[in-house]
Amino acid sequence: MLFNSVTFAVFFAAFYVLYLAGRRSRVLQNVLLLLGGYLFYGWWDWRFLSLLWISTISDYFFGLAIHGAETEGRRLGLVRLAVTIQLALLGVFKYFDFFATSAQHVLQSLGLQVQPLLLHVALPVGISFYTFQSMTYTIDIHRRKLEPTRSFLDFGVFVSFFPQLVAGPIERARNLIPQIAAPRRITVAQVDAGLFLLLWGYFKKIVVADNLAPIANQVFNHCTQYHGLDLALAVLAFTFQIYCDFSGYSDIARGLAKLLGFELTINFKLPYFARTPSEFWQRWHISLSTWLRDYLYIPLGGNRHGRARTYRNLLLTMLLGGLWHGAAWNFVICGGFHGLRLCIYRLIEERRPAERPPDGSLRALGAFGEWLLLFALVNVSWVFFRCQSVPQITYVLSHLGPGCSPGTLSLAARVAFYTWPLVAMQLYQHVTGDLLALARWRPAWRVVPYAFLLLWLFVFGAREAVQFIYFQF
Amino acid sequence: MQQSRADPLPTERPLAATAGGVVATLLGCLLLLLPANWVAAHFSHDLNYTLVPTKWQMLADLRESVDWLVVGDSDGLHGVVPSLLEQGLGGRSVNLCTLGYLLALQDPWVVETYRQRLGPPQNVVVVHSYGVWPRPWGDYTVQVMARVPLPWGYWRRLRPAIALTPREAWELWLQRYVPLYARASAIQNRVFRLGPLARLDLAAQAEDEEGADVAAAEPVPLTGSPPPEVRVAPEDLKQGFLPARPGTAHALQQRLREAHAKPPTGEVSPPNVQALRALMDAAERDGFELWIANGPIAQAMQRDPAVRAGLDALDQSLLRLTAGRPHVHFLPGRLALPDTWMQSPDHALPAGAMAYSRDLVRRIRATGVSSVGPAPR
Repeated sequence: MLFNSVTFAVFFAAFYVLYLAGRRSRVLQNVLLLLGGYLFYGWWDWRFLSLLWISTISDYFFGLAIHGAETEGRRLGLVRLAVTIQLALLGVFKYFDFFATSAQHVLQSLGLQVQPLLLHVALPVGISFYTFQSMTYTIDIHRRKLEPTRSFLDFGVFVSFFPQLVAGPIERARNLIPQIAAPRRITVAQVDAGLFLLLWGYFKKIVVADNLAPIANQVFNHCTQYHGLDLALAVLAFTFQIYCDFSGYSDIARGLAKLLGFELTINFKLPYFARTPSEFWQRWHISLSTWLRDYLYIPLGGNRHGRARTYRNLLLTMLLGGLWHGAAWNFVICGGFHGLRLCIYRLIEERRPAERPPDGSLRALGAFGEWLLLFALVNVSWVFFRCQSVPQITYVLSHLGPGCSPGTLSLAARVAFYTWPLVAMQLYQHVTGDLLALARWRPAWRVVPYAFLLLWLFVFGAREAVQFIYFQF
Repeated sequence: MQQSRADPLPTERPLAATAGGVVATLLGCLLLLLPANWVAAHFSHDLNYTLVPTKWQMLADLRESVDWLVVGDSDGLHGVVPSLLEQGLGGRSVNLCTLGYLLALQDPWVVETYRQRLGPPQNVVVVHSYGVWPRPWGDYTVQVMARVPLPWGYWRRLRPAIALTPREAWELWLQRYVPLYARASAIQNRVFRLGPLARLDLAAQAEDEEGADVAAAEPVPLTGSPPPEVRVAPEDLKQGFLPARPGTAHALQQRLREAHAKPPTGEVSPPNVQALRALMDAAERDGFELWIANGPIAQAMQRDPAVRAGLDALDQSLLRLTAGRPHVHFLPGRLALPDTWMQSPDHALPAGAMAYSRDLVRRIRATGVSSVGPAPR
């Protein structure tokens, strides 16, 4: 069930009426959330509900067992087992065929012919999201940062909370479970912010991302027919497309959650305004980057064991982060590129002499230069992400340039046409430092931009419900 | 991971919202969008958008019954000249043909609405393109159905009754009451004709790629001399005839190639069978004469054996469907006009429309049905 489909609109409208009707009983609302989550997820393929149930049942009981374990060794063993089960689900359904075929290619290059067993199973939607989310529960209990919930219902809602079930934000158990367990109150401020997030999220997805997608697809799929500047514009189009697709989903998820009385993690904080790679990761897919930091980078040693180990940890974390996105080498390369970028920036930062920062326009110019460089590097990283093969990556990157074709101007105009409202809004959010800045306007004033966004949704919104890019992860 | 020396990150500061503010915002948006919706409804004169309500308005404006009620798709719209029908068959006629996207469904709906207002008609002439009979139910059918200006739910009340899925009903509702949504393509087209946006139509480019096989096929030679200049009487326009505008030879070639690439199979789609049966039942019940005619075609179509075979098979299907109905007269075969007299493989230019209308009169008279009186002078 896609957020941008009529089916979801009908589902949510019916669900919300029932949910509000059950406002006097938290348990009833949680039962509705659980059933709603299963219906939402089962709509794609009801058979994959079993995976959701395996995640739920195993981590619920492991949580209790870890908490009740008497020795540290037993606690450690149980948490390892719990994490292994979740990773096994991911491994079988997402990575098995990838590793099997990769191994086959390696062996073939060594002259050994093997026919690996391939599972050919469809990738369950959002499996990377809910397995990672579920893992935070057992790991945090093991770290004694969280008490296990005794309510199976509450835990079931935590794993299957439909607004963020299939594409995040990846919620921490210690953020979401207390909200599920507490008496619920939907405030006017939540409704107000929720409606804004829904409007802005749908705008980003349906108007910006889904209209830039054909432009990027056309050029990337026939890249040899285009000139240097066309390729650059397509990369730029994809840069905006992937941001609007994913952050649009997050906004819609957070808006829906607010309407239901929940607060989810802010997943994007204007990432394209970042000036350094580490800042980028504090702004982009925050729930994943903090997950990787807390559950991978820091356990690996973080920056506590010398420079070499720090760089190794950074690289390893980003490589695995790339692999998390998809079972394909381009994602691994993309992760490696991000890791390398983090290392190089860190190296430069460490060697930069401590001098007084320049004042005024020089400082602004420096900041602009930093921003521009990082934005260009981010664009390059999306080439790895978007291309489907190493030769395609090589072709696109080696042919980027100033060469124009008769269609270049039009391509540029289309990209500009669909992105200018986004850029204007984000500049405003950046200057105010407030992601809800527009929602803060007086009703008499804000109706104008709100109506503008609605108008664009009606007129320029893509009609076909296009799947969100991050569903494949 | 490492700490940055970046600016403070943006955040979401809590809102000081009031219920009144939320409601005022929602109502304000609605108030601003209503005029935009009105503008969209009256935005330019797009034939596809205005034709259906215009024809239904013509039906609503009829004060007295007519002798020849012509219904069907664009073949009839551009092909049947009412004054020629009247000259050849006597009485008064009106051309209520619209678009093939409505399939044959509109025919019985128009006839039933006519009967409710003015009593049973005397003669009904149905003209359809060879391409419409096999056409299945599609999204576009619902979109055009939304343009029929009858009260909501008319498709359930008129025969044949159509059951829409909830999704189709929703689409129809949007198309009918939210022109801002329904007319988005027209508005987009207008916007994208501005400046450099016009130069790259990616959708068209993609279509071109899909149609590359068709385009690469052998060109279809066009035959015939330029059509004679004809003057369309204003009365004919008032009675529903719409002259087709000449297109380019290239466009005609392209359409002919498409038609040759996908010749007819003789199939009549289920909704069209349903519509035809409803219309024939009405003819039997009310005792009016029903004439079912094929629209004109370009001679290039007739020259292609595969197309010819498909058209013959379609005639056989229609003959079978209409057999055993004393008031129903199917007129098999079709007039093939010089290619240069056609706008497309089945849309006649005005000179072709006149030839087609005269031929239609001749065929109807040839049936010898008693309701057709002696030819007026």
